[in-house]
Amino acid sequence: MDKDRESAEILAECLERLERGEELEDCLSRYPERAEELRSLLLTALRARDAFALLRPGQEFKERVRARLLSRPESRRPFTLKRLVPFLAPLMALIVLGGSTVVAASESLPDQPLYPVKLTVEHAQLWLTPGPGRKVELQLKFVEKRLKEMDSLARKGKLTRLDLPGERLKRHLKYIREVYRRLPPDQKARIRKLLLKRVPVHKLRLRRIRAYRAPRPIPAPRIKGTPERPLTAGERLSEWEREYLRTIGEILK
Amino acid sequence: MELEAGSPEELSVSEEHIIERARKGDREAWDELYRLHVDRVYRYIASKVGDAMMVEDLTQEVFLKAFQSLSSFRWRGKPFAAWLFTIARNLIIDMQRKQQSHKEVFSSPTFISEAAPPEAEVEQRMKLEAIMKAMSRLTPLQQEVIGLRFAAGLTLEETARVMGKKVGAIKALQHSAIAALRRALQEYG
Repeated sequence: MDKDRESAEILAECLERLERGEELEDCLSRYPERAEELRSLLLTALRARDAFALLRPGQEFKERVRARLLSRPESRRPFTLKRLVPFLAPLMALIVLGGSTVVAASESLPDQPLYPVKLTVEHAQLWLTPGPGRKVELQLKFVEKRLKEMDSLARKGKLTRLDLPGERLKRHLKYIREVYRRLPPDQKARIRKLLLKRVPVHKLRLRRIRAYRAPRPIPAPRIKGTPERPLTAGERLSEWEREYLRTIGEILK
Repeated sequence: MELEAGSPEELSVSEEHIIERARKGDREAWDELYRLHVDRVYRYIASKVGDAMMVEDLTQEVFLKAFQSLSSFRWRGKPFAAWLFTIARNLIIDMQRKQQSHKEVFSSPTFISEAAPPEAEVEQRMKLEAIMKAMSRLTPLQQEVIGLRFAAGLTLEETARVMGKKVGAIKALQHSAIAALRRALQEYG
């Protein structure tokens, strides 16, 4: 790869890392031989981005355009599922699985046979929930559920079962981060407010999970082609905690 | 189809779902799309157009046009943002062809945060003026990539789609644009 192309690739990679929330110094530490030049270019890009962020439409203008767009005649009146969302997901599961199954599944843990039913209902709820802001709120509820499950499993000494809810927890957190970034300010403020109330409970659960000692290392999930390396309970928990802290750090900054 | 929570495919499906509802005339979906994109469309247009009233007119025009032609948008994995900003870009080009001169923009109060105290507003204007002056020293393509990447906040892939170029070419253009911007800023401070 020629030098210019390499510089362009590295700059693009570092910008993407910064956009994902990585610190400038962490980016630069990957390319120490280019750090000075790279720092200067990245700071220029950040300066441009920060300056453009000052360009904001006035609220009156936004509302005026919004009113004009929404006053356009609709071609068809859609049936709104909004009010039925809390009922539709379990309803779908009910039709397929039966009422008592869905109810029993709602408190099931990963080591119980009805746990997949619980996840199916959650999937359906997410699919039916309109609007990214509401989806993020729902995902926050799922985060709580996963932490509660992990707490219950750890209390029972079933630390080898933490992988499933732990990995799902990571996916919920990743979703929250990626969608939150694109939300408008009012929805972001709502999410921040919700999260602020729940962070102490989340942290308490994580501390409790950590307090239970594993009798032996929790095996890492198998990845094809790589040798199996058993991770300690501490290592796996740290990974999930890091994802959680990264997410709340990004939202509450 | 089983989708992983948080996967790009799932996020894409979320937006696809909103767009499908909007195409059927669901006003809440229109509202959602508008709220998601209005600020960044405005920023992008403001980074290229010198007149505050023109920026507002064009921003409005982008959304009117987008919602009029939403039925022609086909979801084939092409990001909605790329389609929307192609509309914005084309409207700007049309406007610039008709316009003979650009008016000075920074006197408009709507350009800077309405809530900022006076001294902060002065500082903000200076920051913005420095960048806009430096931008005027870049080539049109360099200005375009800076506008799309840092004013509109598009990804490299989305920017490539809007500009009709490959991602590799956009990376090279981005690099040269930032380097040129840095040189220009060193002159203006």
